[in-house]
This record gives sequence, C-alpha cells and structure tokens, in this order.
Amino acid sequence: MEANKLLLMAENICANFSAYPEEQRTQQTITHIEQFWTPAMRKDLKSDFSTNEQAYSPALKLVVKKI
Amino acid sequence: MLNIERGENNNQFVELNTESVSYLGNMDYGTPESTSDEIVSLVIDNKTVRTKAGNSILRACIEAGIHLPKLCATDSVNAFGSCRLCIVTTNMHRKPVASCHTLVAEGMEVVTQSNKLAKLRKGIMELYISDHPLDCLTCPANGDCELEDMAGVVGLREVRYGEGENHLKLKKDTSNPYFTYDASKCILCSRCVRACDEVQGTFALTIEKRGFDSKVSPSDHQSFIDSECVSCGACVQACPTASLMEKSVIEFGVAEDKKMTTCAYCGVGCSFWAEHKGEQVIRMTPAKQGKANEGHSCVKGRFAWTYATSEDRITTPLIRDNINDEWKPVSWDEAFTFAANKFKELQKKHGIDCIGSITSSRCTNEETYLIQKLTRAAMGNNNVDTCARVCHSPTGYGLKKTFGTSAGTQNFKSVGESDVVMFIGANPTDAHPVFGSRVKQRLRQGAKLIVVDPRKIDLVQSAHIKADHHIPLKPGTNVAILNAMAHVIVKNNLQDQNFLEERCDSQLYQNWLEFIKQSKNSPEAVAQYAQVDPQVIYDAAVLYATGGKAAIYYGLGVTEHSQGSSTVMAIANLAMLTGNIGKEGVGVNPLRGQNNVQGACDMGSFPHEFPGYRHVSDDKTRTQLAKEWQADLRSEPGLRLPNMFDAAIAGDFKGMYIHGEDPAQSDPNTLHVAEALSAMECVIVQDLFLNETAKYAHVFFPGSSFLEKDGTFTNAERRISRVRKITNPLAGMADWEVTQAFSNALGYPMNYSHPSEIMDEVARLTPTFSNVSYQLLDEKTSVQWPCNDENPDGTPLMHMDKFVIGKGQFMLTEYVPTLEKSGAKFPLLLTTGRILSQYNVGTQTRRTENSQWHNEDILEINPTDAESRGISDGDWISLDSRVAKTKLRAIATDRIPPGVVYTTFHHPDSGVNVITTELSDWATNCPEYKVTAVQVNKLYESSTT
Repeated sequence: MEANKLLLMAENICANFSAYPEEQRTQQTITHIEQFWTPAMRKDLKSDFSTNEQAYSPALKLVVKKI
Repeated sequence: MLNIERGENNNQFVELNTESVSYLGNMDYGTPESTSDEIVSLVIDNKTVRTKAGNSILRACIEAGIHLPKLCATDSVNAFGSCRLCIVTTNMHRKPVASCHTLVAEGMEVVTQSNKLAKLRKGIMELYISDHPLDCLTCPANGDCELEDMAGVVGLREVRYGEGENHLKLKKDTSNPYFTYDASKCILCSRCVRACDEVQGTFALTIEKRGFDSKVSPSDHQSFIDSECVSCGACVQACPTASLMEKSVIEFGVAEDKKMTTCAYCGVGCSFWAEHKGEQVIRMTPAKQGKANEGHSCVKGRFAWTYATSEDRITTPLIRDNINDEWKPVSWDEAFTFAANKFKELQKKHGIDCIGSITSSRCTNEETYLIQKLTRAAMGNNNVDTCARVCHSPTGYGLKKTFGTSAGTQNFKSVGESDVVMFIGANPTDAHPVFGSRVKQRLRQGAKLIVVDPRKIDLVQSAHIKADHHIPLKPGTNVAILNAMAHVIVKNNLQDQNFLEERCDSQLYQNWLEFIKQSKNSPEAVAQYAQVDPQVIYDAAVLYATGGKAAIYYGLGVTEHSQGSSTVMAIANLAMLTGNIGKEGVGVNPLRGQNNVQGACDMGSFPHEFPGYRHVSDDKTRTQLAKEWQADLRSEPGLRLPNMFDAAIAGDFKGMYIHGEDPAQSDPNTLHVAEALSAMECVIVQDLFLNETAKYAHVFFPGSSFLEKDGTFTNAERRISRVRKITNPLAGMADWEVTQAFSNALGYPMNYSHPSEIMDEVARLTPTFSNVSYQLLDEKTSVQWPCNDENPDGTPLMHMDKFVIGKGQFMLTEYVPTLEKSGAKFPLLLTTGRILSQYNVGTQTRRTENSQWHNEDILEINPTDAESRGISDGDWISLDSRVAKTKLRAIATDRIPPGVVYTTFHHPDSGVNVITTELSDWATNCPEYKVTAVQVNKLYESSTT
C-alpha cells in the first residue's frame, strides 16, 4: 500500500490518543495497529519508516520502533 | 336504578359475525391498550372479564371475544366516539354509551346486545349507507371493507331514505402515486386524520368545514401530492372503507394470503405483512405485532417495494473476460465455474491474500455469515468487509471500547419513557421515519429535545414540535461539543456520583475527569471553532444532566467523520457521567442507516472479527471455528474495504466478490474506487441490477430481493426478525444459495438446505446468539440479542446491572480537527444527508414512484452565501472540491448556516460522492462523508444534464 496513506493513518491514530500520557499513548497506538492492520500494512509502514523517519512525528516514531 | 336490557332474555338480536371483522386475521381491539398495571373486573353480557384499568369497554369486549360493531374506532388511535355503532348499556350510565370512549370500571355491568341497541345501530348504519355508493361488488375494498362488514353485522337489509343531496359525485383525488382518496366513499370517521396526527405526527389532514359540507382535506385544500402528506400510509391503513385505497389493490384486487416479513430499507426494521396473490405482491401493510414499528410505516417500506419487479432486474448470470467486452449470458453452473477458476488462478499466481469479499447491510444475516465464512475458509484469508465500514464502523469500535458491546443499549419503545431526547447527527423524520414518529409522540407528551446538527432538521421545528436547544455546530466539531457538554456537567457537579462509583472504572474516570476539566474543553473555548453560542452548549448540557431520563440517538452525522469513533466514545462518556445507562428511557442508540447494519457486523463481516465480535487473534474462538468449519483460519486481520482498493491500485489485490453493495457509487472519491476496480482482474458482483460497480465486473450473479428469500435481519435495537420468502427468486436462486454454490465451486463444500440451518450454526458458534432459532423467532416474532441461556427471551435493554465489559470505561476523547479545512479556494463545508422518499444511493427507491417527490439531488445553501454568488433558487451550480467537481441545482434556505452547504446523495447523476474525500475515521477508516471543503459557483449556461 501507498506509504503516505499508511503514515497518515498511523499519525491519525497517534493524534487521537494524544490526551494520554506518553507510555499509554504509545501502547494504545501499537495495540490499535496490531488489532486492525494487516501484517503487510505494518511491514510497509516499518519499511517506509526506515527510509523516511523525518516525516514521522515524535509520538509515532516511538510507536513504529516498537511494532 | 338504571334500566338495563339483558341480552339473555331476548333472542332477536343479530349475532355478530366475528369472522367478518378480521380481514386476513388482522385483529383490531378498537382502542389502544392502557399502560396501567391495575386490573379491573367487570361483567360483560354476564361474563366476568378482567382487563387493564384505563381500557375502553370496547377493548375489554374484544379482548374477551365479544365483538362489537365499530367504524370510527381502531386500536392505533385514541377513541373518538363519532360513529356510535359500538354503543352499549351499562349499570353506570343512564343512556347507551359509546363503548370506545367509555372506560371500564370495577363492578361495571355491560350489555352489548339488546333490541334497543340493535335498532340504534341499524339506524346509524342506514344513515351511513344512504350517502355511500352501493357498488360493493365492483369496489376494490370488497372483502376488506369495514363499512360493508358492519352493514352485515347489524343486519342492514334496506335503506329507507330516498335520493337527495349527497356526496356521491365528489371528485376522486388520484394524485398520490400509491393511493387514491375517494371522498364519495368517506364516512368522516376521522380515523385518517387521527392517524396522521397521533401515529405519524405530520398533521397533514384535517376535517374542514362543518355539517354536510365536512370533508377530509390534505393541508390547505390541496391534493395529496401537493400537501404536507408524507405518504406513510397510516391514513390508508386506518381507513375503514375504500375512501383511501392502495392503487395496487385497485389494480390487482385484495390479497389471498399474507406472510410477515421485515422491511429491507432502514435500520428501524419494521415488520410488514406481505399480502400476495400467488406470485403477485398486492401490498405491504405494517404489522402491529412488529415490536420495532407497532403497526406504523413510512413511504419506503409501505409502498416503495416495486423495485423488486423492476423491468431492469437481471435474471441471468453474466460473464466476460474483460470489462470492455459485452456481457455473455450463461447458466448458473457456467458462471460459478468461470468465477471460481478466475479466483483460484489469481491466488495461484499472486498469493492467497490477493482476493477478498464485500458483503452488505442489505444482505440477510445468513448471507453475510456465509460470505465471511467463504472468505475465511474457502479463500483462506480475512479480507472480508461490509458496507458498515462506510457508515457505522465507528459505533462498533466506540461502544465496544466503552461498554463492551458493539450495539445500542435500548429498544425503540424505550424512548416513550425519556424525559430528554438528544439527537446528534441524525435526522430521524427523514432517515428513520417510523422511529421519528415514535419520538414525536413522546415530544408531544412533553419530553425535552436537544438537536446537535449543523442543519435545522425537521425536529428543530415542525408541527407541535420545537427543540429546546439546537446546537448548529460547524461540521467536524462533534467531539469538541460533546467534550464541552461534559465539561459543563463536571464543573457544575451535575454528574451521577453513585452511578460512577458503582458502575464505572474509577481510575479511568479520574483520568478522564482531569482531561475534561481542562479549559480547552470549556464551552467558551470550543465555541471559537465550533461556531456556536457557548450558552447554548451550557444550557443543553444542564438539560441533559438534570432533565430526568435522558437518551441519546445518533446517526451518520456522528460516525462519518475523521473522529467518528471518538464521537461515539464521547457520547458514551456523557451517558455514563450522568448515569443514563441501564434503564428505560435512557441510553446510547445508534440509528443504523440500512436494514441489517447491526446484523452484518454481528455476523463477523469485519476483517478483524469473527461472528460475535471476537477478534481473529482469539485462539479459543479461532480453534473452535476452525474445527467446525474444517479450515485453517488466519489469526491476523485482513484488509478493510478502502485498504483493498488501495492495494488494488498498488497492484497487490486482484479480485473481489461484492454482494449487494455498490462501492463505485456509494464510496467516497468514486474516481479512486473506479481506478481500483479497473485494476482488478476479476470482480464478481451479486446484485439485483447492473449497478455502477458492475461496469467494472467480470461476473454478475443475479441477486434476489428480500421478497424472494428466507432469512433474518437485525435492526438498530439488536432485534432479530424474520425475512420470509413471498415469491420465488426471479433468477431461480436465492442469494444464500448463490454464495453456497460459489463456495462449492471454489472447492469448499457448503450443504445447507435452508437458511434456518445457517442460523442454527450461528447460534451454535456464537455465545450471544445461542438461543436464537427460526422456531423461536416464529414464536416471538423477534428477539433482541443477547439471546442465550442467561437471557432466553432476548435482551431489550443492555447493561442493566453491569456493563458487558464489567466496569464502564471512560475514554479520553481529544478533539483533533479534521484535515479537511475550508479556506480561500474552498470556503464552504459540504455535508450530506438523506431525504424521506429516497434511500441511500437510490438503487431501490429511484426505481419506484418515490422519485415523484425527489428526482434530483439539490444543494441547500444559506441565503447569504447564495446572494454573494448570485445564486437564485433553481440555478445550476458547480460544486468543486479538492478531489473533483460536479454540478447540481441549488436552493437558498436558512435551514443551513452560513459557510455550510448540504445535499443528498441519492442520484448518481449528481455525483456527490465523486467530490467527497478519502479522509476517514482514525480508528475504523469510515469515510468522512460529512465534511468536504467546497466552492460553489453559479453556472450561467443552462443545463439539465
């Protein structure tokens, strides 16, 4: 899938957990992505992250590193 | 003492023929049932009868099997007492009284038959018949006419009055496409007027003038088609003669048989009697036994079913190698083999994950269950999704997170106990009309109303209804408004502390409390960008928290946003905060758009969940299903619908089996959808018609309408109701049989002989459905899940003593503005909705006479915005978004605030979904249909295309 779309989706998830403390926010986002994304989508996101980290928000960076 | 004539001493009375007062078994108790718990004992014709205090004598008689003649009385409306046919004598009245509007009393003695009463009744009937056409043999109501029945019941054999001034030559109004009004046959019983007032709540009819000049008048001396009449059919249903009569009955005659079934339109799930004569459906009449609708209907369910026999129904399977080729009609076997070979080849070449399925909320539970089973077991992946993805998937997510169950909490009847009703992003009088009428009844009784909607929907102000608070928020700010309401409640200490302590997770509540108290959630802060008066937010919050039992109903104006799921959770937070959960009159209630949204979700049509909302990673469930289905099942979620389209464009997704859904018209950014469908190598469409999506299909399986198959639908109340086969499938196979045969062709055997066996399997494998069976549904008409050993008769109200999840879970709902913003180039926000006479993308309703009311989508624009663009009513305008542009006609109206425009999406010509963006709910990918930044410009060149 197109990396830009995956990034947008992931950032949206992160943003909607933004009211939580950092640790909870990170974990909630990880859980959400694992529950609802296919393995291929997760793999594509990580792949994009490896070459495009600068486009990721600090909050999402924490998430992608732990997926 | 009273002079009471005793029936047993007189053998000259006309015996009432009880058979004649019941057409096809429709029992009418004359007056509505009292809601009292008190029981009264009385004697009727020497028979001791017990009935509810507050019931009429007429009702008590009929309950006891003693049938009285009646004309103006019917149990759907309050007693009127005009015809006097139901007169009786009692020991408590000096003169005969109308039994319909005389209440029972303890110790009352009633006599229903005597010479005196017989004479009075015959005299009344004689007067009626003296001014009524004597054309019974050729009258369309012959066999279903209460006037004719009553004439027989009272033994009327002659009319002594000669010719004189009468109403026999009054003109017939045939303007309504579905029924006629023949004033010459009207007996002025007022049943139609009362039905319009009391049941429907439109107040479109009146009896104008007085005495001999009295007549039923729609609106202000208008024809039915030009009046405020909404064609719900309540008046036709109530009419005891052929004065108001369905045109289908006039054309085909009265029915010979009937079966109860469930409407295939919105999520109210009305029960109807499908009256038919062999393969010819005569009419659909709302069933009083239907617990969702209790005898009421709307124009769609009552009349707009003729699409089922539309001439452009496809009844032969079609195949083609390329979407640019002509369709080739083939046998069913050839179509199944062709489709199965294509899918098998694709998987062999591109891997197991390259295909998937889409089921629809128009499908039955059994069909949906089979499609998800086919996908998981036959295709070997979890790439199954449903059109609920694009409407109520946020409901599933939000309510599961907070309450533990992806469903509404109440039954519809519960609103009759509400003191405050709040509608958020829902327009029930158009989209869920039968529930809308029920709500209006409660509002007329005095319940308070809050409407949260950018548009002045009908409920904001209509006949005898006025919202106490209307919050005309800027589209996209639902979460902010709800957070602000919660902020007000907390700041003013209006929360239900006992409920919070007993029913909710205390740590989560404390975290939420800290969040909601922040000043960014105050009405003053929110008002800046939601563009509403903070005082209105404050007043609405106080009313919701302090007004008594408060219920929230919401629709797609909540879910179809980038924060749809957050809004659902914010609603749940609000309900928990105020203790408005777990009893009559309260709750959180999604108004599902289509007939089986709830059921489609229940049946496991999401890519991450098995039936019963159990995640695919749940080892216990997966192991059980794998054993039962004899298949290896994946533990990882599959692709969602929009992800399938994205994957198709990326070249990874090659084939799709689409049942009952038309994403090329109904999904957002349809140009993107078309590109995705074009990129696939095998698209299979199963539908009634060659829809927009079929343009991109390689295989077409002709579908069967809801009248042609057995099954069940589950409505917005979690109510499972039977769909019953009335006529044979036009294409020879019911939809469930098609899916089964396709599965067999794919090499995965399915051998159900009837949909009841599919439901038995669902019940065996799904804890919340374990007691559901067709036998139970036949016995009870319907049941609400959970229906299992704990709740053998179903569950009308959820979360009574505790939440399904245990303690209620407060979720932090940060307001995150949508990325779709208005600006210099696209200064207006477009939001969309439905109109009463049309349904979704119009596939069904556009093929009926409903298009007489709405034959094109119209843009509503505020007069200020219209004026600044030089737009007058009826002008053609261009509607441009960042994605695409379309054109339609406009009207200026202050129903819509400045800066916002609104239209419907029922007609493909208007291409409204061409311009909606691909932005979607963060949690579920439900598209953000309700917010699209647009520009509107007048088109000076006249155009009708």
